[in-house]
Amino acid sequence: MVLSVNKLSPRKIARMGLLMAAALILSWVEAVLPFQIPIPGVKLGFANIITLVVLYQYSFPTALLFGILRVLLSSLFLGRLSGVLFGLCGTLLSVCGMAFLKRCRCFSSLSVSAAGAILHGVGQLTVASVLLTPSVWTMLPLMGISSAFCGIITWIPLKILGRYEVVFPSDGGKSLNKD
Amino acid sequence: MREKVKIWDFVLIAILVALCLSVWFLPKEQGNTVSISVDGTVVAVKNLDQDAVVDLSDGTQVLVENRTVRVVHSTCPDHLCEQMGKISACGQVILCVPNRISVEIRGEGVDGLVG
Repeated sequence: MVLSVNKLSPRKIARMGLLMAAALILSWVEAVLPFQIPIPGVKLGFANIITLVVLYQYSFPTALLFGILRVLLSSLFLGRLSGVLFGLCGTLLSVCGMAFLKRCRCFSSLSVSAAGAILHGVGQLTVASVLLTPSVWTMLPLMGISSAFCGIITWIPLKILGRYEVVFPSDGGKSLNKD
Repeated sequence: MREKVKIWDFVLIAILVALCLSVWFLPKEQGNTVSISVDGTVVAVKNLDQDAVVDLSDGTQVLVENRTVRVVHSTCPDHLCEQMGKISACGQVILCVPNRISVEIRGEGVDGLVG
């Protein structure tokens, strides 16, 4: 697997550190924005851009680890430990779903991003239905629409980032894994 | 990363949104009672016909008024539960994730997903 020590090149560690820092900054920016969507658990999800970058550049296990670490660290930084289970389940489902769709090859990053956002919401609702009440599923339509919308919005900066060699090397990131 | 958006993207997004929306078309019935739970345990059940104010031990205040229910005051940091507004139909919920509170409208003795 990717996590074996000998495969963790200094370059990869440095890049992952940078990407993690970027993701945490995005989570923070999102948390201090003056406007919030009045549905629990629904956020724009800018940090998901970085998870997508990791997924497209590295591999599914790396993206999964990155996503889980990001949720843990951002909830520590933002002091929102109450939401950590929700975030973890959401991220787990969304990264798995996004990796699957990416593998299908008939979908572009647009639907990968949108489906990831929707699955994140579904994951959160799953935790809520277990911890709180099964009736939370009535929020699914609202959550689905707003998540799809957010997923499409966050896809735009990803598309812009995709033009830059620094973020997405033209060899598909193969050189990043070795070295 | 130089991929094009494909027709399948829109098909997939449309299907996923439609799946989410389908919950809306499940039969709805009028709610009769509101049950307030903390950490999954019901702490209060109120009849919707009677206006009432429910004070929870952590300072959260739930108002029952004209067959609608809303959270008027909360001690949580984000106050999303207050912004969720009023609920009145069976199965609707207001959640306060930081305080683990759920406010849920129920029908007559019916329990479960939407009913």
